[in-house]
Amino acid sequence: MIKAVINGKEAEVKKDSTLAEIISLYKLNPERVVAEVNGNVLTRDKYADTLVNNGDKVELINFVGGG
Amino acid sequence: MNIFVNEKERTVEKGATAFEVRSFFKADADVVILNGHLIGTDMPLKNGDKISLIKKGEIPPADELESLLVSRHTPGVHDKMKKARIAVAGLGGLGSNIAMSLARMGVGDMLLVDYDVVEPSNINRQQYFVDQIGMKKTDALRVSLERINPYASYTYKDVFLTEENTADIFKDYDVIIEAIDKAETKAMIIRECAAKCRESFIIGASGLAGYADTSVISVRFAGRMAIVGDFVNEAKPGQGLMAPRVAVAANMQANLAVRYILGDLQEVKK
Repeated sequence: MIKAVINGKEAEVKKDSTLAEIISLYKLNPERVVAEVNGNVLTRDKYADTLVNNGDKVELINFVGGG
Repeated sequence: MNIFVNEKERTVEKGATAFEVRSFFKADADVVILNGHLIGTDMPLKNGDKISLIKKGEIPPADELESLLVSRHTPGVHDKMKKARIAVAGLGGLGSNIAMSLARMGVGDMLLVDYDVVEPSNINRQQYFVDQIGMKKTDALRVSLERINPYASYTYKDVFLTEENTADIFKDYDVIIEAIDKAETKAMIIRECAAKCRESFIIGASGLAGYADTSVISVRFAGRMAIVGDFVNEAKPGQGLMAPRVAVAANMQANLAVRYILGDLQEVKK
């Protein structure tokens, strides 16, 4: 296990977890999420091959409809 | 000392008062605005003060109109807004309200993007009118923005935003505001712009449906993004989208853009 900070809270996740797996772990729909890792927002094609490392700061912003 | 009367620099005697200046330059003015504030009693002036004199019912000369339109702005704001380049993605409930507010602020260069037409269900929250049903939103909004501030440059794009075209369309703008209805498209636009337009400040919105208390609508900052909303109340069967709450969120987005342009935002620097 490694420790990352996800949405401001320390969280233990499996070593070599991808961003796609973290999004799924938090029960979020990847199409409705903006994910930022250490200050960089990633396009959706990067979710499956971006590894979350020990100490990484991850922000997952979920969008709901309405405008 | 030197002061500005309806934006023109004038030399007046030291110690002159606002009402003395009115008597001299425009005795019949019934609105006197000093440094952005409407005054009802006379006040002494100091060097550099800006005074606007307006006669109600009179159409001012063309060279004075622009400054009078923003005479209630806080001094110094309009010069910065006029240099700003701001893009709005989606011209529905959020985007049409954002565009109206930013036109009133005097933003100098705006990009307005939407592919859709005005239809009856829009009008409960969007800045369109019954006689505009069937018009392209870009064409309908153009009419209103020109009536509010004809001294700005507006670019209208009637396109559907995709992962392929989004970053290219918005890349040259200081501020990019996401103002879309559908959750997947909101997230896509913010991902594409935040990942590829890295100098821009990105403002989105999530959670503004229904009629819950507006005080729960907040701002979440991350990187060069700010997202406005309660993050919970989504548009869905049984929960509609209505003017007051949508306009609150839209104007919070617009105010974030203003604060960023003025260099007043602590969380995201210009």
